Amino acid sequence: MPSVAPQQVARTPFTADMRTQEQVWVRAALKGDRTAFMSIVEAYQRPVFNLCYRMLGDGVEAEDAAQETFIRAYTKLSTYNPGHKFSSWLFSIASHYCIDRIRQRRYHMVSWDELPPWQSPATNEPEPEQAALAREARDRLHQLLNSLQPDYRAAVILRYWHDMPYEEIAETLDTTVSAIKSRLFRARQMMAETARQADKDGKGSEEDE
Amino acid sequence: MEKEVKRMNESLEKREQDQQNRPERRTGQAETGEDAMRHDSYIEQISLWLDNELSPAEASQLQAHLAQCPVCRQSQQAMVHLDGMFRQAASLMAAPLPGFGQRLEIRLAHYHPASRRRLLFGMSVLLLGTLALALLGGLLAGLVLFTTGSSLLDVALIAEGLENLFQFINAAAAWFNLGSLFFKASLLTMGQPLFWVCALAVLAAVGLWLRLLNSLNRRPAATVELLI
Repeated sequence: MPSVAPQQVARTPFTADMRTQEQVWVRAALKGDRTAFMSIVEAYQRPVFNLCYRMLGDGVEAEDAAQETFIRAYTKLSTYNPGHKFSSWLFSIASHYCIDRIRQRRYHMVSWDELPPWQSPATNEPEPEQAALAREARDRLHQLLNSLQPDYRAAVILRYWHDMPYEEIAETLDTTVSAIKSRLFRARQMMAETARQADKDGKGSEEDE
Repeated sequence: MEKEVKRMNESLEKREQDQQNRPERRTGQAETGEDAMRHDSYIEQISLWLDNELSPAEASQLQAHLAQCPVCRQSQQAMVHLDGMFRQAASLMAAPLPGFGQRLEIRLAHYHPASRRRLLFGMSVLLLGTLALALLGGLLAGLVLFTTGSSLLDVALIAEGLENLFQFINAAAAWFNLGSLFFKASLLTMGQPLFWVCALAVLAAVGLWLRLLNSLNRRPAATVELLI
């Protein structure tokens, strides 16, 4: 059964009020209030799932990773330092879990080439040309992301999808700002090269035909 | 950002035309390692520029370099294109299927993080409670027997009990001696290299078995997808 891409929804940015509310929930959850913790889950399920999905490239694996992230957050909530952003702490758990998971794939000798390609939701109705083009662009972008090593990929995802400044990405990925600058630069350079190569190969095969 | 890129590209095209008109324009020179490093440093600057991390002075310095360097300009165009693709894609978030919270609650219900701590606490309470009860029971029984002058407080019986207790202590001491002898013998054996060779061989064998069992039991997620 091929993996199916999950539903894509518009981003909803976090407001200052939400951040204040989040601290109230965290304090209550620390006292053992499960309902407060589930409110945190409700607020963060989408961004955490999105991060896992972009990292792993599969909806089923992303669901499992996102759930594991929240279980880890629940069990390690006492280690959270309220002086830092809660979202960074949560994304840190998710990123590290996904990076480990990708490394485990390598341990099982499954190469990137063998992984199933990114799949978009299948429909029986014929797609308008514009939608098909958009889907093609999205698949291409995901393939570019897939070509990166996991810690580079995490930096790119946190930068673009989660609008994080360099300092926050560094905190989330437990590294320095200069390392993040370097990762983003290398990632962009590698993806540009991959795209250029793909274009060249595409043109070459068209000429052969 | 798009306007800024457009403005920058227009400015670059103008500068490029100016450069082409100059007679001393250098062309056809082979790129050295030093040049490649210089390009890398400017390409890094392009990455920072895309994230608005350059000061105005640095940005204009980069612009001036791009105007005269076709290699860096090509990289800039590719990176700007990629950046646009990512920004467009990032306007949408992947969402989990409905009921994510309920599914998590089911998993959490089967997961008791404090169960180990609770078990330890329970065991300690049980142990202390048993000891306290035994002590209290013994004291109460002794008090009752003593006050009623029961025949159970027979001196001979107590003497026999004490003798049994001493015998038990003796036996325990003998076992302790035996244990210490075994320990000394083990220390002597450990001095032999052959012992360590055997121990390491056993450890390696156990490690290999565990690893094999682990790899057989683990669900390789990516491989499963390939098989299905």
